[in-house]
Amino acid sequence: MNQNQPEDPQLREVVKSALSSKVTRRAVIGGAIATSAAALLAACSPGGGKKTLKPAKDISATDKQVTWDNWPYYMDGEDGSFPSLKAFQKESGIKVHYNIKIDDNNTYFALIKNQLASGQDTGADTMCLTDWMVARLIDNGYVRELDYSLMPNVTKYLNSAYKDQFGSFDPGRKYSLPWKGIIATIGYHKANYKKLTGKDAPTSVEDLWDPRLKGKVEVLSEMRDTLGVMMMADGIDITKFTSDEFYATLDKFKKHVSSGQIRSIKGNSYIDDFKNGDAVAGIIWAGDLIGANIELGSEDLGVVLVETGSTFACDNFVIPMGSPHFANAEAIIDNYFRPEVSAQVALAGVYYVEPVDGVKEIVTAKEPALGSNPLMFPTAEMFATKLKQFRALTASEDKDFSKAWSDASNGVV
Amino acid sequence: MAFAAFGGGAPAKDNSASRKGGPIVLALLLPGMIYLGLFFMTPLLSLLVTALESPDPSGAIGAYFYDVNFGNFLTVVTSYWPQILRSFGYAFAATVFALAISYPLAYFIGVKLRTSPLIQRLLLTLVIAPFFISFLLRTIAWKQLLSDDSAFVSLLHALNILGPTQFFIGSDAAVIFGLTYNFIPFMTLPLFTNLERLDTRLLEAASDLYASPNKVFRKVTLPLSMPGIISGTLLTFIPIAGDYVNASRDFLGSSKTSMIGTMVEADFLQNWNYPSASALSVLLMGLILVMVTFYVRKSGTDDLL
Repeated sequence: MNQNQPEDPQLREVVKSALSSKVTRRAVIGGAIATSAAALLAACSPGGGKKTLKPAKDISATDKQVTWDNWPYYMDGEDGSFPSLKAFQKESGIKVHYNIKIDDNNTYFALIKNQLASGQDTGADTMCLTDWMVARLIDNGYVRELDYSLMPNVTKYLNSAYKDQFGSFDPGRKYSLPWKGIIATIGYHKANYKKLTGKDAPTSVEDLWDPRLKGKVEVLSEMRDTLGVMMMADGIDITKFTSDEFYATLDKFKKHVSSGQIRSIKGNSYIDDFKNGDAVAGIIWAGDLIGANIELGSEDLGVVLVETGSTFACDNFVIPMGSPHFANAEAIIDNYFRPEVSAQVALAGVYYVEPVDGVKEIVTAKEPALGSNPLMFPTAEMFATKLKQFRALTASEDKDFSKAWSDASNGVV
Repeated sequence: MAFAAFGGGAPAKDNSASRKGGPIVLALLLPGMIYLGLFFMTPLLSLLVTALESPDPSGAIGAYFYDVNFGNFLTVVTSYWPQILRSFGYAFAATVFALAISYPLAYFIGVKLRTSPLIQRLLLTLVIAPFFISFLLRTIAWKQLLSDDSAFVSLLHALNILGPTQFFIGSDAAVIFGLTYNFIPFMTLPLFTNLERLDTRLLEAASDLYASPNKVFRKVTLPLSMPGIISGTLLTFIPIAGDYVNASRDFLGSSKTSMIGTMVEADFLQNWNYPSASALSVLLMGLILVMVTFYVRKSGTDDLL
């Protein structure tokens, strides 16, 4: 498709609009300058207000391909072999372009926001983004409503907890489907923790504020994870908290930052600090520390599921309004809701929480230790009492809370 | 513009014949003008337009409409004045440190080693050599070298310079160190270019007239090297004021070291507050322009403007 048109979707739109109008040569030159200037301004400048977008025409039947943007360490055979993707390609005849392109929700969004906001093709037919980002995309009308009739496996195997309990930002999962779940809780460096505190392991969030750990505590830059875990420790139900409760815990967080108890607030790079000794304990993503232990070939790092509870979030599939391959995107999403396909990914070393029913049984049969790991397959009791999802925020709460969090993290008073 | 200072050399003589703009001159200028128009003027204009936008009435996060809202500038100044002051404070300190390190180095390489060009070239290469490695990688390497368990921090603890719960990474000193280190060549090279051409006979003449070495330096060497100092300080101060890598929490900084660049990043990427990020960028640009103009005029080198 688009053989004579530019690869870049935004440029393609400019060319398309130029080709579609009948004009004189003089008007073409004048118009081209004006259009380019306007397009460039639009390309460089965000904003322009909220628009109501319409889904793009679906050319899936004639153009058998699909592009999927995802995070690293999320697919079997990331050395490039991608066995499960290749099997899908062979079976369906749909060519898959799998891009490991997301390493942060915000930076990825910054890459595609202009296309998303104008309903153009972003270059990806589906991508996996975290709950809160998906909530923003749905709220702004950037993503398409899913058609469940094209996804029989989703209907059959999607774990019900993900529809209700962990889908509060998208009631009924109309626009998004979970890819993998992530638990945020307390992590620590076993030897260094013992050296500083004399204790074997932290047992509560309160343990992080031990003066002997001053300057050695690091927390995640994801507001919902760090504050979520802290709010639960304060006895707040994060599935239905008030704005006052949010700010009360934020004040505590600010106090620990200004006293120097919390040394840093980081995204993915926190794991290096646990390895080199700059961080001894903190709020972390469980899967990362398990992965780091495997990478280091040691058991240096420990994960504790605290009594007061841990946050649970998902990276979710969404299909942007401008995607021209809607049916193909749904086909590949549905493929990964087949238990045997999802189990193949899990067994290949993708140690995150599985939202597909039936995967646990297949994994347990092949690798019992993995199948019984509660950080990968949380028990029903854990889901009911220990793992909570930060409630969906209204647009104005999202704006205010994010700003307050960003200011607190950057020391803005 | 102050940037003419980087060019060096005497201004070209007015030659009216060469100033006539013929079609060939225009044709030669065209690619440059188009490039500047597309990649400098358009983004700049877009930045200015964005800086004046207002939030969309729908309240959706990240949605703004075109407006003339100068209030954005007031908001960023009132919210981020500590970060603005800190940026210029860091830039000033790092520039002074870079000058203090680079001047003797450039003098040694450019004046003292004139008789041994091989060693001169070797030392110059050594000044530049670390910069063949990526800026980010070098900063990450320093983060590891200065981490809490490093020999350097252990030494500071042993000497009681740092208390038992104090560490180097995340402090003002760590960020200023990183900035100084990363921008030193931009100070050393212009100074070297200037001092390399220093006429040593003038120094001898001053000595013959009974000037002390101190006086020779103050009255002869220093004034003659002023263009090098100005070029060097501008080349370091301007990028340092806008730097956000060194002060970032992911590198040498912490929550207590955020600079203007940190806030632009936070507003643009995390808060989706594009008008605020743009207003802060425009403000940074304006402040630097005012400071540089004042500095160049004050240093008595108006002809460089």
